[in-house]
Amino acid sequence: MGLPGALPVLNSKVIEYAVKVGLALNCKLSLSSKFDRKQYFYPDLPKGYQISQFDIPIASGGYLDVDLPLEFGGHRKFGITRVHMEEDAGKLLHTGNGSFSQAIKFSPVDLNRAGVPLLEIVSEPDMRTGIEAAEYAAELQRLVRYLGVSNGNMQEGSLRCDVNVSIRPIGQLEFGTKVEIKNLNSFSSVSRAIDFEISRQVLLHSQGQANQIVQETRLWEEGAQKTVTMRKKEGLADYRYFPEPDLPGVTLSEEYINGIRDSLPELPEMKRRRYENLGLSMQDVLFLANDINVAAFFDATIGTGADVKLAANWIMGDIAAYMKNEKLSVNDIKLTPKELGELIASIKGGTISGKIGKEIVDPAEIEKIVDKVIAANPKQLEQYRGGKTKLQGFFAGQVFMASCSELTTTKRTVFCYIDTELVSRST
Amino acid sequence: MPSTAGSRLLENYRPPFDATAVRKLRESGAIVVGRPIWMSLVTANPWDLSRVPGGSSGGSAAAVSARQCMVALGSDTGGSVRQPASFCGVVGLKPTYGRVSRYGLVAYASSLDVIGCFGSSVADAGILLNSISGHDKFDATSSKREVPDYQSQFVAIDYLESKPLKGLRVGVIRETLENGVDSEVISSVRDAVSHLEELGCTVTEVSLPSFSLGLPAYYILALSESSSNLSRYDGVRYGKQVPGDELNSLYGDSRAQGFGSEVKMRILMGTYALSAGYYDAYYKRAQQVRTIIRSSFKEALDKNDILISPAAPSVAYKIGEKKNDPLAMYAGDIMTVNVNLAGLPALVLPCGFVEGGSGSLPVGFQMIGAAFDEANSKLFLGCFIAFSKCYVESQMHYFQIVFYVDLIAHAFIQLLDAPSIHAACFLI
Repeated sequence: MGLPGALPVLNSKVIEYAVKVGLALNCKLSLSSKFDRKQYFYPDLPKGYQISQFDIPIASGGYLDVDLPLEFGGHRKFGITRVHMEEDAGKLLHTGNGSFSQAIKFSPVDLNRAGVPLLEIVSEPDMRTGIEAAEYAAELQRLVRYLGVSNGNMQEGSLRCDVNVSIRPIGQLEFGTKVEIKNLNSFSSVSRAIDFEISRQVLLHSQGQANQIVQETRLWEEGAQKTVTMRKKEGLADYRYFPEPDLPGVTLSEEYINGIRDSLPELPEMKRRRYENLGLSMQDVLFLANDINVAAFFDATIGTGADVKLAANWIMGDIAAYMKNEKLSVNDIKLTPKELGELIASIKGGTISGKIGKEIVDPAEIEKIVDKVIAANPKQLEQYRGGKTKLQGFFAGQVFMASCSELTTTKRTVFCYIDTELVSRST
Repeated sequence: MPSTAGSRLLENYRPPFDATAVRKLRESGAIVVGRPIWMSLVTANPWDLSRVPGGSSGGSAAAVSARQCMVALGSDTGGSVRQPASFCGVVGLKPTYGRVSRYGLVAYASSLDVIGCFGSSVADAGILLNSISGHDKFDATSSKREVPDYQSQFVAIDYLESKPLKGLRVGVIRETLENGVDSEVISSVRDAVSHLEELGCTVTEVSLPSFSLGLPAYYILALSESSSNLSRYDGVRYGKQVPGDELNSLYGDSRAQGFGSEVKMRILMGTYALSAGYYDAYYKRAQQVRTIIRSSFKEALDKNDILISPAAPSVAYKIGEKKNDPLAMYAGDIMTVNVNLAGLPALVLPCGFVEGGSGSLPVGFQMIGAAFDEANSKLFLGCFIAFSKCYVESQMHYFQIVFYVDLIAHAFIQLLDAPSIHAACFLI
């Protein structure tokens, strides 16, 4: 709110997250950095200044590995200029026609997020097409989710993206005038806005009107699929930066940094390389490495000795479909990697209809679940009746996923039970 | 309680939270009597109503001086507790930067502001300091250092030997007793210094060649920081708003009508000093000067326990006298600003009188200690009350004329709450 007498206090988590991100982006960390005030007037900025880091960001000079689809370039490295900490401003809600009063037009200011810490990650101008930028952004999202520093949801505003685009004639070393684009709410808008802006600037160049490309901020209009002028920058704004006197400087010890480095998970890039080496196709690799929890599930499954390709198929196929249907995450489903491993082993070994176990606990429970599964999958039942006996594994899997951890009976017994049920129903 | 900082812009503003210092006071049982309006033209010096009480915490100083309350809080950015203390003849204490939480203090210059104490005796100021000091999680610049029990440091006069200050090394800052300071102020301070010698101190003269650099450096830094701190007063979220058709006129009119001309001038100067192209020449340069001053004081305080100077180059001047000469007004801060730049503690005590106008006007002298060394200067001053007896006697004379009726009532209250030298005197 910027009330008289209010003072800022540093949230130590943001330093931890900044160091995590800085290390994951292969940056050099500033052992001693500070905060600065960036001063300007706007209704969503309660103090009339934003606490940020100006000349000594906490991390700088790194890079990010991105795997573009092969037809767009394959593996690429994009430079990271800097990572710095700053506070968020509020949000102006432009209601358009003022629903509260016809006479007075106003925009309410929502100050709830003012003061919340942010990390700003600035890339080097290394991307050349919209898709490269979009993939870069997607990889950053993957990274911050892997690190657990953000859920990276663009729709919630947990991840926000602004781009700067410029063009220059081939052979010219100097960069052209850059144009900022805001209001990008998804990776695809990032891609399309950039491609639009490139063609807009190229057109002006080709018409001999390159001087009409001015340093300005443009808004991406999703409906019209084009960028429009928001406000012309009257030269560079003078933010009158000076060191923030209300916050002490940030000093990082080697010990602290090493502690965080040791706690970093295997990052997406490393995982992808490892999965490639397991013999999986790029498509499989990209799917499995996309979500850290899915990757963990996969790693645990193959850790039990299960066949790599089969495990990949199960996870990408039936399990993914089940999760989507039931709106569950991989950590919520009842099937454990160990059980999946056993299931795969059983199917592979053809032991599905193996020996009948001696002990069955609560057969009624199993029966109920089996009934439900069979009833929910009439198509597969038909196919089974039609001779596709391998579908036994499918049914077993469904039963397992719905109830495995509740059953105290042995797996073989369940299989056997399903087996008998299926047999009995097909006759 | 309405909190307007003397500004039209905060008309009718009521803060939704207590400052930490005030909360601590309430928790220790203090009765908050009121809140003097900051920098108001209405407040006058109780010693001579045609003269200023000093600024900016002149209201608090005048209230204590006129016995309207026992102790008072003020804020000291460049001397705004110590100068009025000197002008009003009361004790003014500026703690080390970070000793007292700034949370809730309307920020002027963040790296210089501290909350200070006024009292009619050192013991009272010490009691007040004790209750407001300490680390505060809401103020990232507050110190985690433990707060010593200042009260245990006070020693009653009767228990002191004849040379109670033996071994205390006192350094008198030569540059503060030269040109530009009223001769009568100088002689008052020199008298005080001789008395200290009699009490056993080792007195030497100390030279701080960078002393005069402090004033311009201070003004650049204070104006820069305050221009930034005052940006939040835009009429949008609280305080007085002058509605406008578009954003710039809302901002412009609200601030134009809400701020007084002195404040506007300061905002303009501070903004200028921070502007692109000027930052290096002004703000950055001033910070470098600050470092020089800090180290020169540290060096001097390694060799001395206390440094001494006048609290102000003159006694209280007439209301309106400096109105058209802001630089002359700023020059009056020469004695006090270096202490803020260095973040050190300082205590101002009345040490004599100057004849002027309708009666006598108090002179105060300043004792500067090393960081977090308040206790040392207090001990030192516990003894000083003996010296202040003459001051007390003339005070009595003053009050008989002006506040005869209040005298009895106040003496009563003081006796009940806390023994202080002045209460004893009133009963004589």
